[in-house]
Amino acid sequence: MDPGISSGGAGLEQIQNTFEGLAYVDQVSGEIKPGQAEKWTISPDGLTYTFNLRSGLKWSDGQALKASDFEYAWKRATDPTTKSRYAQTLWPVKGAEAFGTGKGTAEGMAAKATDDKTFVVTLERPAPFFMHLVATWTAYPVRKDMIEKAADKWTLGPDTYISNGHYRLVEWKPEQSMTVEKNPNYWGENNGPDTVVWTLLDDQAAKSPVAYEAGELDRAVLVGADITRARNDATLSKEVKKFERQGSQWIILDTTSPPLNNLKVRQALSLATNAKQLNEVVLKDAYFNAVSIVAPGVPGQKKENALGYDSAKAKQLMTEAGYPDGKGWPANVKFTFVGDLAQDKAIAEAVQGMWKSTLGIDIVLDPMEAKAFDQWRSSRKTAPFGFYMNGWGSDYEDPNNWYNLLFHSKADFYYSHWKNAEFDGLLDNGLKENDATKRKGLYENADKILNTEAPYITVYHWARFDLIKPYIDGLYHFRVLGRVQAYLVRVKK
Amino acid sequence: MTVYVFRRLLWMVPSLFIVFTLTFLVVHATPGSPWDEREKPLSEAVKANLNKQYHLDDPLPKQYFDYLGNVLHGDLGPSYRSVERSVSEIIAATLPVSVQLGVASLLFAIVVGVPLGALAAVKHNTWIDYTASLVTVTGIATPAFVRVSLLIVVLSLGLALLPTGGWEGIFDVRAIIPILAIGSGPAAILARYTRSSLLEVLGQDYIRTAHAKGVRPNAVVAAHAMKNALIPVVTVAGVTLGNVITGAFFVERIYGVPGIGRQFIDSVTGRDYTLLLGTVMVFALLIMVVNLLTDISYGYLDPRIRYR
Repeated sequence: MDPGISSGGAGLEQIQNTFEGLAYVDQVSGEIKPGQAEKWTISPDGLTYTFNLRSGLKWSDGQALKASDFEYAWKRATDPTTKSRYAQTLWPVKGAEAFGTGKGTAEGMAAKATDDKTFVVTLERPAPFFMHLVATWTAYPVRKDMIEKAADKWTLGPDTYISNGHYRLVEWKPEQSMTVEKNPNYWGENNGPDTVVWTLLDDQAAKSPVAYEAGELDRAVLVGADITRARNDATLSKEVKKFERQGSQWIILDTTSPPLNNLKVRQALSLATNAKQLNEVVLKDAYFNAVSIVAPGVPGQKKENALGYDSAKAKQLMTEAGYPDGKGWPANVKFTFVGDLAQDKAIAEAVQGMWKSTLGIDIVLDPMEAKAFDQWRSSRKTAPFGFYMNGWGSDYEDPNNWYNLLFHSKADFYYSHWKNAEFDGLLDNGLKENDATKRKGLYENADKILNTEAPYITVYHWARFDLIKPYIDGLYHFRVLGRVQAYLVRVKK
Repeated sequence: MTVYVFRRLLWMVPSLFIVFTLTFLVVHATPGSPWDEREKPLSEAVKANLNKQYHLDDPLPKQYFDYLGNVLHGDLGPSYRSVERSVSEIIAATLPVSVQLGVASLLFAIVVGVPLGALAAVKHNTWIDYTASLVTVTGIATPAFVRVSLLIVVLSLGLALLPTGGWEGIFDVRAIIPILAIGSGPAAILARYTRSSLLEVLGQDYIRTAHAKGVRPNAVVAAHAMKNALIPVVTVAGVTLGNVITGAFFVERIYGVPGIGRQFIDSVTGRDYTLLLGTVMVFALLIMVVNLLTDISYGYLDPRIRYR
């Protein structure tokens, strides 16, 4: 519930409904729109951002909101002792990384309120995606006096949880419910419902459909077998809604360990993976069919770059790589996944079968408990492996959030150990390029290299299913982050 | 008696210490960390900072003694999952809910189980006895999480009599399903023990004497037989409290009751080390106290038992 600390998991929807940053992402077009800032200017070198706040901005308790509130919030989120789960958001700001890693100070972080309505930020180096970070929850303003008064407990009640967004907190009963009402001090319009109540369930997917069918909820979350059940139900099938989530689920390959260090082997495995069948048959259309490594919609991603599915070509490549019909394939290539996740298990088993029937190879399935898997995965940075399953979803719709953050050899977020100098070079240039079209072109070239080199095999793109009562309009999940914005919702009842 | 109770209380200290140490070791030997990476991984820099800020990168013996010191000063530490509440605060908020639910469930078990068992014993080898056996064996054989799911399907979704989940205090209708789900297991166990124990007592000489004196049959059972028949039942009632607690773990989670059992499960799966240790200590203490109360109650029920 603390914008400065949240990693964007549970609680983000409530944070986004109660707070607002200098700018926000339009939940239909995906464009950056002015929020608390009326306008901003960017210096020609792309380094200095000057934000002009709207006049008469107020917190939900009526107190004036000043540029210094942003300075406080940004420095607080970066301060390592705040224990933010998302501190790196603001690291492009000059001095922020040093401060965040204990080598610098708050004063050294170039985010300053020069007067009550002006907030000036200087970056370490140009970052064409910076406005997306400005719109992130980590960059929301928070109330210094409340945090100093109540410390970590400021989020617990309406007296201290003072916000600046469309709604304000009425009551939070931990693990039970949260109620918000319209914030009368919000600068803009709010034609959403007057009050919103979230029933807080620790296992939403299991419990919300039950409560929904009993008429206790207007919206429920659907996953797995419930999706099929709802689709086959006469009444519920009309209330099922499928939304795109800009994310990819992958099989990640260790590109430095044999036999996966062989490019032809990786390409063969990718070509032998029937993604259409994985989603439509194995997972009963609970996701979207895989298109390419990066999720559709991210600038740079091009479906033409993907290898696709071609079993004949896959066989041929495997033969060329020295494993005709799987002969000579090593016995102990492991595929690691979280055994408790039904869909991961189903994918692993299906892929094992596909590769066996198409390429004649045997792989060993290696299911793990969720937390054991996290630890095993973290240690892959320096250790070899075969395959494992994991995924990524956009925090913001910019190539930086995928290519540079995940696939650049310096980042290697998923430890595929894949390195390509040309690819890295394109990405480095992408960070410096301020012309959107040219920048997109650089990433499209990089995307081609990434897909051809096949360090990842996409099994599906993420989706989100809801049950929504027919009298609710405008309840919508945007493809990025996709939390429900109550001010867009209309209740016809 | 006082000396006995005092000695038992004193023994709890090393017992708790052993529970604490074993739990600490097991928890830290289990792979994984408290940071949530279910959907996608956290960055290494963030994890490194969190481990540093929460002292999870200290050597294990240092962590152990630091934490032990804090616990001895009454500080159970921060919860890794919820920044806004400490472990002590979470326990203070959730334990009363579970205690209310547990006491109500145990009362339900006694009120239903003991008379049912007595009835089966008095009418033994009749259709009443057989029906009671069928009900109780089913109750014992069905885990609490199955019972609560069945109750939700039947009472909430089928008959639309009760909400599908939630908690508004013990006197709200939302308490009915969890009480039935948790209480019916121990009720079945109590019924079985009451039946067999009462049957044994009913065969004894002093019962025949009571009948011979002309005491009414109902009074013989109620006044003469029940008192002795209840001694093993009290023992079992104490033990079933363990059953009530473990049953509550899953019932609380499935029915959305903000109790401590749910915190316990979530702390295990989420590797919330401090919260897990805190809840384990609470459960250990609870079970020790209940065992002590059970032992003390024998003295009142059976004058032959003496405490040394």
